[in-house]
Amino acid sequence: MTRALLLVVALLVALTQAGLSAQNQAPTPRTADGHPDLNGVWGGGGGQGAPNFVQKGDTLVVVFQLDGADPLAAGNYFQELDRRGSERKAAAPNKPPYKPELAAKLKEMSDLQSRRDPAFYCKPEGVPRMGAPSQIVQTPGQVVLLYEGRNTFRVIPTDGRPHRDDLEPTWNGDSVGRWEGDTLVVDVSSHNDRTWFDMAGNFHSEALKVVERYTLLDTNTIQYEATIEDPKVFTRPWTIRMPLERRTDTDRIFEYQCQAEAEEANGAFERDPMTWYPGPSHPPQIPAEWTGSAAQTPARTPPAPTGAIKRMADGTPNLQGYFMADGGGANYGLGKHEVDFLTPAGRGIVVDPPDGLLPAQSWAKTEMVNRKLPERGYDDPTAHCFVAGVPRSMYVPSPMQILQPPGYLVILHERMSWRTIPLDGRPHLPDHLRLWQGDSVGRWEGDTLVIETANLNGKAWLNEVGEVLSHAARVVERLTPTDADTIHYEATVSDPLVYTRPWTIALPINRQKDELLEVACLEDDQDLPHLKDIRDAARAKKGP
Amino acid sequence: MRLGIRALLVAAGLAIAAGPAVAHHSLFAVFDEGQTVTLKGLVSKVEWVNPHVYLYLDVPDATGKVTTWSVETFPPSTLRRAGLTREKLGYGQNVTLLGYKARNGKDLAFLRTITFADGREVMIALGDIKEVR
Repeated sequence: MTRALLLVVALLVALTQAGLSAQNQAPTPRTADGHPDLNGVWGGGGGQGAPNFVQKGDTLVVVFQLDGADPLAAGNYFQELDRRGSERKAAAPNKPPYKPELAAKLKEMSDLQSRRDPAFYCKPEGVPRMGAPSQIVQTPGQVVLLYEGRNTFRVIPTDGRPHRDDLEPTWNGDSVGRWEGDTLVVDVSSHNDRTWFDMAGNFHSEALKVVERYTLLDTNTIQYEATIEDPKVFTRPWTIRMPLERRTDTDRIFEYQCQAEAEEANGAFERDPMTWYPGPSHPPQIPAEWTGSAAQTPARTPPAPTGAIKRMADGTPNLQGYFMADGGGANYGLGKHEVDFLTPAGRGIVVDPPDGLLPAQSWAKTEMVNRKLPERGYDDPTAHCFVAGVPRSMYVPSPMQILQPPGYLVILHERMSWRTIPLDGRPHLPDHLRLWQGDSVGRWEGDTLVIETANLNGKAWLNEVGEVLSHAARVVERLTPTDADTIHYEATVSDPLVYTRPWTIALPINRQKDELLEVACLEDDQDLPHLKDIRDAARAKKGP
Repeated sequence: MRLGIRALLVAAGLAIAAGPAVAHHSLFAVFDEGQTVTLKGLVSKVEWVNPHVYLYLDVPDATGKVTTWSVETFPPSTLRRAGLTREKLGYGQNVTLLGYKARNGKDLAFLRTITFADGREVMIALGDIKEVR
């Protein structure tokens, strides 16, 4: 290293230390109820958040981390990797204390890791393997942890309630929290025995109990600790510990859909060529109809309240709580429809156009008829347990929880996905960044929360019968509370690739008493193989 | 598009847990970093499977006889973190591929670089990301 470089490094170190000590002296940030404020976007827990690639001219360099080695040089890296691996293994200070009689089972699990590790199949990782949360949303009486990795979440009551006694074991267990001084202590029980602690095959039984401790050391650091107890497999409790660092590069996290990514990559899920981004229909050919006034998103008049509505301290409506849409069979057709083979009738939720029918272009009409064929059932992304997307996740018959941390709306869908929506009207992500749930940005217009969603990847269906949505769609949702327990929900969809004009659905979203449970759709999915058989049989009949 | 994926990952700040093990078997035992091989051919198949992704490269010789090479690379989670998919690994395309040869002399290699017709490259490397950033 040159002298100049050394100087720069020394300066950086000095600056960092100065910064750290300044932070250490700052008072612990606190929420209104006096507890440490854990709200924010967090990373760390082993430094796994850093990108593992870099673009060098025309070359994309993808790196598997081997500290201190130059990725561009040639070296004896394979051997070095082996050497460090065995060193690390030998030096590990905190090996899980398995009962001696389980040594053979542990070796078997470890040897067969590459075939058996549930994480390889995008299964929920469980606590503590799911690790540090990517974002914490802390409200009085409840802490919600959001995880980027599988678009999943945990809801932790901190209002003193005990564990529920009516739960079957689940992947992520049942969490109950309490504050011990300035430490959030989370007690996790009701685990199933299908998750592992790590890639080394370390397993547990359903007797597992985990106690997590989240301690804010300074504004930007949480110490995460988990004590693991399982009298069926361990001789004593053991503890893991890691720091979480506040991320200052972003104020929000985005979905990462493990199952969808994996199945798209291995070919098990095929995108609809007409709708996905970038796909052959990109850039979209905008039909002439859309150049006129129909191209504008029609203005909507919000409904008048029928009762008193709840409000936040700043006066904006308080939409928080557990809800479920009365979708009236919309998951089997947005327009009015009669009972069909296997699908119930629907009252129809399309309020514009006035005829209550989706104004589909002719190709899309044909596609919608095709998607109703039994062999197309396999193509519905939700049959693969992928995320329902926007706006479908709002009217599927499944509960949701709405949270309103300052400046944001967060929606948790029981079928294990979350959506975070900044309410500052910021611009959307660059057009080429595409997500299953798109990029949602909101703003208040009077007592109506208006959420605009763009950047959809065009892979989701509108419902089980295959009503079509493409990457060109923009969705404007309007949530207006009409009394303390009801939200009037509207969504206007403008999709020039699929429809002849924008259309709007409307439905009530009603408050529920029940909290969300874990619905791990991935679990033992028996339907998908059947749907695949039907598809494959139909394809075989048609011939190549 | 390269930039797109990169920007997406940066913007989204995707933090996907990648385990500490690249090698579910010893790479050193199977491959020789001192022996490289350059192959030109069609990526006829990409097996996107754990614990290692495999490319299959149909390589014609001077007489037109085709040999299919298996080319092993990183686990799907590592590749996905970098925005790579089957398509971006050259599925269905003619590419030039540099790899480390298997010690057993079979038509097997560990991927180092893929070079596409338009000059773009994907390099797969062990090393310290800080050294190249």
